[in-house]
Amino acid sequence: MSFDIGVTQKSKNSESNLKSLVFLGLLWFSLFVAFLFLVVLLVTTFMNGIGRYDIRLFTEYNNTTPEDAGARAAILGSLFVVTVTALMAIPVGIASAIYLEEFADKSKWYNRFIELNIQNLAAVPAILYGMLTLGILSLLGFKNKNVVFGGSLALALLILPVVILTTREALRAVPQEIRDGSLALGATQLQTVGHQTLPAAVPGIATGTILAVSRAMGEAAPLLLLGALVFITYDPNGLLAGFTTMPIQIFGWTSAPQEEFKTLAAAAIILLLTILLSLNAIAIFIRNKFAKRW
Amino acid sequence: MTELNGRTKQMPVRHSDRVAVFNPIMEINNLDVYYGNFHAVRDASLEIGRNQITAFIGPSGCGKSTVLRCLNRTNDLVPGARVAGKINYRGHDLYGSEVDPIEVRRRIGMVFQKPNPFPKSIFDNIAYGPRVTGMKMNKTETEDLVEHALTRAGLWSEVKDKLDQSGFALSGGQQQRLCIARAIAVEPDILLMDEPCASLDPIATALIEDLMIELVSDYTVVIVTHNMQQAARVSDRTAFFSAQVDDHGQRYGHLVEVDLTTKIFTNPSDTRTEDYISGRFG
Repeated sequence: MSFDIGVTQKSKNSESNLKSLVFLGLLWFSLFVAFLFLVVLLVTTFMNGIGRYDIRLFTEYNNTTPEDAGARAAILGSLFVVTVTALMAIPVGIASAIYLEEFADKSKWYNRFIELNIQNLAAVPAILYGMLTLGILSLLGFKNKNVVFGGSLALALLILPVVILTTREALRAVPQEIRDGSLALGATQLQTVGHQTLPAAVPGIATGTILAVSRAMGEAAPLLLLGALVFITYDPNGLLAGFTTMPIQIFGWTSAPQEEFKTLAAAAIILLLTILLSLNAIAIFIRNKFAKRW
Repeated sequence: MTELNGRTKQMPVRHSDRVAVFNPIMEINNLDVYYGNFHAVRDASLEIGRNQITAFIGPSGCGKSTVLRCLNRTNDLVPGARVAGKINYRGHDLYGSEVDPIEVRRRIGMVFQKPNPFPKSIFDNIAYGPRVTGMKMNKTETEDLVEHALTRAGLWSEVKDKLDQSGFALSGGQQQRLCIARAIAVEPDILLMDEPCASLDPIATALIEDLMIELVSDYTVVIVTHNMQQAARVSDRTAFFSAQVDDHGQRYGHLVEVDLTTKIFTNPSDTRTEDYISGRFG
């Protein structure tokens, strides 16, 4: 009798083993497909672009002859625009998150309403932020919409919800006991946030912010809507000056008829990918290095 | 500061001497606590004796922690929490409109159930309270204060060589003594302890209990504990809380009686206390 039971259990086990093997196989296959596309994309871009990944890419401005063209204005433009974006979005984002997480009375409907909307904003397509910025700039009376201020504003609006949400997550991960301990010593709520909660949340905030900035760096859609696809042959020189960024420049080159421009675009993609992957690596490094086990 | 440094370690006062003088530092009259619509504690009245250890005992949900958290207005921080009745502390209405809850918490310190050192160095854990409460101190004074607080909490000899290490590097019992030292550093009047030994082993517990008896010569201590032996060992007076159910089927906390610890544990006036003490329920 016991022998029988043993057999049925065994066959049941092997059946479920087979099922989980098949399932695991499917998962691996999905991962493989995704990974394959990524590798093919990276390798072909690399093969196409490496020939033009030289010093001229960094030093030369755009030019009608591909041999003399470089991405200098785009590289500096990207750095400038993203810096201004970060200066606009990060302080506001962190402050909003601190208010929502540490001070807002969550039983009030308007605070819950704001929260819900910020979560929705994070899922809004990038192009809509371009349209919104276009509207704002028109209201402010800008004739030329393709200015650094406008581009940065669009990108700042785009990453603001991401900054707010990741900062809130980081603040939420700080145990309540830390706040209680600080308040019980006679610290004010503001001191508690400034001396305890915020410092403890800095690694998480840094990780989220870097990821948000790298998103701004790779974004083209809202800038295209502002008319950023222009021929720039000067370094960015002010908030109200015209600009171009790397994604815009790449977009411009890939739509050019000459084959050499496509090579140039591939070279610029290599550079952009290197920057983005480095930013992501830094974010992951910070997350792991400062991961706290409470 | 000289007064601080000049203070020698006092011999613990003997239990019976502490009991002989009852000099209330805090009077709680008809205290009711609400969380939103929930009437959590009903009509609690008791007095806390100066330089005595008062223990709050009772089963879970009896409101003893809730009452404790009212004594330094920590309950204010819970959304929807409301207090009715009066708490008189050194002649001041603790919930009076002119009273600043921040100042109350500075004078009436709290140690929590789970040791909660700040994610900072041992030194900064102690120095934090004095810094944020605006005590103006130079480097030497801060160092003296840190040493004094750690010595008072019986931790100095164990940590004096690693003051710059994280508070998390310490054992659970050491962390809890660090939290006590941290509370002492702002020179409070009263120390509230919410089950301070709940997460500690018996040896660490014994150290904390010795520490309480030593500290009570300078401070007034109120402790919430689930451990009746602990209440019997350390406290001078004991308040027994119990969970009741009203006519609408709602549970609430109720203060059954408060008396000398020796009386509560040998000859309580209320049968509910006797049942609890003798282990018949709870």
